[in-house]
Amino acid sequence: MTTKGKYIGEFEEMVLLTVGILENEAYGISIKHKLEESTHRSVSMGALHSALHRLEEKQYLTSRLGDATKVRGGKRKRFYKVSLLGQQAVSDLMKQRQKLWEAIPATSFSIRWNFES
Amino acid sequence: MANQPPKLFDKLLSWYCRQIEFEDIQGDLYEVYFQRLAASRWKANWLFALDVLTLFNPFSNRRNRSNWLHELYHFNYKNQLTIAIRNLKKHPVVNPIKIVGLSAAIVAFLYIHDYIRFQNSYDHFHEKKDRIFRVTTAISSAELEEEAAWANGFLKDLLLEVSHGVEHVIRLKRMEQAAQVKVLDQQFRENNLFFSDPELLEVMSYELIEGTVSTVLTQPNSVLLTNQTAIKYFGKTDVLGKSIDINNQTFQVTGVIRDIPKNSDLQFDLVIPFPSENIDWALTYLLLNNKASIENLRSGFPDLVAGYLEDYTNQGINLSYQFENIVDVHFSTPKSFDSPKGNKTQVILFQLIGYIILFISLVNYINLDTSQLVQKARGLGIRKIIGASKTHLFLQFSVHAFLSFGIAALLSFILISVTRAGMRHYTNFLFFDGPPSYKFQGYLLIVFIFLVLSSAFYAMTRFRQPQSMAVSIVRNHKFLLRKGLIGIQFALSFALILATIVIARQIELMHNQALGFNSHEVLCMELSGTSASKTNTDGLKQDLHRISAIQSVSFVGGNSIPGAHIDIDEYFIEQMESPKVVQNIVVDENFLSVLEISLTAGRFFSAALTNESQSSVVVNEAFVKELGWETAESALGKKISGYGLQGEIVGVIQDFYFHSPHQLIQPLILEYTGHGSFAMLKFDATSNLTDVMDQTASVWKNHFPDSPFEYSLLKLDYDQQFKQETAAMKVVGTISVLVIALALLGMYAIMLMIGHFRTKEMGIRKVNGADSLDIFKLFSKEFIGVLSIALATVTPFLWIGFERWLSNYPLRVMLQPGLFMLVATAICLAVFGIIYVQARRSNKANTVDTLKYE
Repeated sequence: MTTKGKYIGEFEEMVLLTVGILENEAYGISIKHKLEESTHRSVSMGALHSALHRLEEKQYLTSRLGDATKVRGGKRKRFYKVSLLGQQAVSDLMKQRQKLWEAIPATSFSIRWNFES
Repeated sequence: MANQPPKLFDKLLSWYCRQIEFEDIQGDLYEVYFQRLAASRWKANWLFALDVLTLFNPFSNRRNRSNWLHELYHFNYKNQLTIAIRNLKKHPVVNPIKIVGLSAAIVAFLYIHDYIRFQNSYDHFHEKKDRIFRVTTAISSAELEEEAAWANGFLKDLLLEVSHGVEHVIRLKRMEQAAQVKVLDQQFRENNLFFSDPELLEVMSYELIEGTVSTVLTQPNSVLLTNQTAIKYFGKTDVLGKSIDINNQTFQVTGVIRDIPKNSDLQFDLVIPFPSENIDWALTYLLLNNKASIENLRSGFPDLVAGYLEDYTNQGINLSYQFENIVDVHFSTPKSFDSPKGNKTQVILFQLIGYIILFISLVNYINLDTSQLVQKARGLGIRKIIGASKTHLFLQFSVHAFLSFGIAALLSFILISVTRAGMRHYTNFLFFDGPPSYKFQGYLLIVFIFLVLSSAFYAMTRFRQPQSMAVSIVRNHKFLLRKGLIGIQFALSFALILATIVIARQIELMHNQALGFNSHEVLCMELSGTSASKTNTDGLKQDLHRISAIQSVSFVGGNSIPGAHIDIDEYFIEQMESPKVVQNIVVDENFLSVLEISLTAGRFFSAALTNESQSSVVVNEAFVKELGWETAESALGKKISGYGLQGEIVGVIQDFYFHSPHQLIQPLILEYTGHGSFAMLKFDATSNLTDVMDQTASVWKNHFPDSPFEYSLLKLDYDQQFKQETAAMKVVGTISVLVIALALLGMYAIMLMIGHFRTKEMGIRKVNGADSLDIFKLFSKEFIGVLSIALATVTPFLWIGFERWLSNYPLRVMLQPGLFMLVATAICLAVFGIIYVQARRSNKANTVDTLKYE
């Protein structure tokens, strides 16, 4: 696969992290709520599902179907889990950011110190 | 339940959402919906709809689409082309047959299409074609029912003055005898000179290269040439004002038109105005103005014209006029004095045959292709297992089909461009040679792409996904559809072969029928238009007799050579109350000896007797019979009078076919002339034709130094009458060869296929002791039924069809069941031959291999 195929967008990264946070409880609605809660922005169902779908295709997420509940009209939930590849990808991403962050000269950023404290 | 999400949007979701994620997405939406329901039902509904709509994201399908595009883009065409070429090379017999069969069918189809296009395009080039009508005449009297292409000359003024809406009327007439044209010091004989009214170009859209439309034929001494004629006379076309002599009268060129398209009913080489206003009968065309309707003219005209036809009605002759649109003229019923006409039924029949041929060849192609697919199946199966997707396989089949069809198409275009000239010559049929029809070419291209794709698709459907490592091909042992198609092919071949034979035999019969005279070794020359007069024709006759090879010379009048358009006249015959209309020819004393016709009773004309031309006539036996006289002898001495004639019957000759045996022999009166304008020369069969010709030419030059020596052979002229049948025979013959070849090819294909599918079975049979003959019996059993049903079904239709066609001929071959049996047997033998070849091949194959097959 091309590198472009493996690229993770900003929104996808957030979704991936949120799935990680929710551990075994990550399915459509819970991810949506968590995302909205932590980013303070509204997330559309369509955007979320296409991101989940893309991530699954890139093999960063795996999914399994859960049990049916009455509140869902008898439909099963699809629970997501971050795959090893996904974990690798997120950690790579974080390391990359960290490296970049540390490379910023002290004189360049005024908020740097505030952040560290 | 009341608390349900809006149904419409639920449906919408189920419609567009991919199956695999439908359940959990719908579940998510339901969960949110029920949460929101607690707050407000209306709001929950609204948000549910919004969610469904936002979920509908065409780009969420992006991955799928890019897969498809990706493969299309990254498909290794070069590699696949190599594989396809390798596949073609692998079967050096089947593949060429497959492709050649297909291209032969394409060639046939394109030829037929060209022919049909030509036939249907007659006179469509006239810009005012919707408003141009030809006026024809139906003549009926007690004795005669005739339709003539001509109309009375006086109709012009009547149409223009009395009836409203007629803009122009033009009359045209061909000069009956060849014209002698002199340009500077060159001599030409023109058979195709027309007289015309001056408004010719106002009505017809002949493109004028030189001259002006309004004045082109207004002067009595003006002449209009076609491009070809101008080139012939002057070597160039800017010849306005040049003079030419036509029959010793000087004319000035006032216009040159582009050559008349071949798809025009009216063909001429040069046009001059009518010499006088007194025009008896002529081809008549009228141009309506924009507002007029032909229906009004059709309904009103009989009353208008009635008053002018009293002369005819008093004689018991009724005339009525028809108006034919100019574009319909080509397919109108043939009339007397008419140009040759097209045959609509024939055109439709050819069209049908063209489509059938194309269809059959495609079926054959697919059959052969499928039989090869079996061998390819392994390779394809491995590809599939390695991970080739459906798109990939489809592309592979497409490349393969594209290569085959591409070669076939290329081959057929090469074939057409090579054979085109020969084909025109061979069939005497005209093909469309105007600008190509882009619509048709576009249509062909679409058909081509469609064929490539459908053939690839078809191959896909035959190729089933392997469940395990085993590879299989969808098969049905019965091949019912294929067998049905084979049956149709053989029925069609049967019909065409029989048609060819029946037409050929009918032509042969008409050719070889004892025509009553001998048309061989007779040379004809025309003297009209030369400076011939009574004195020098006598000299000519004597000189011609001096040529040793010439046995007899006869001078006859116009329209008196067998095969010519015969004259009819009225005669008053002793004891008959009313005059009788009889065909007549004017001949001299040697007529019988030249044509080897024998005398039944009395005597023939004698040059020694004076006043022979006014006092003596000779009739044929049919005349005697028609008048109810008992014997030929009893006719002798009967008084007869007619135009310039007051005499008696002096002799009766044997019947002969003045016209071809298309018609029964008609009663005929022969009158005498001492100075006919046509010479017929009978020469010795053993002599050298070139020598005879040279000697005759030199005699001619002595007598008529001004006129070019031109001659024709009676046999060839007479046989022109079989032109239509001969052309039909050639075309049907060619097509039948093609169709039988295609049918045998199809048979071969299906046998190959059966052979492949039953390889293992054959192996087992062989082990159990079956020999080639047993296998042959096994295979033939499957085809005997189809073949006999096909042939038996068409036979009655063919019989009726042939009977109907043959009933047009008074002299006709009788259909024999034996002929049908013979052709049917021949077809069966060919089929069984193919089956036997396959049976032998199956039997000769190594049993070890066949048993291991699959």
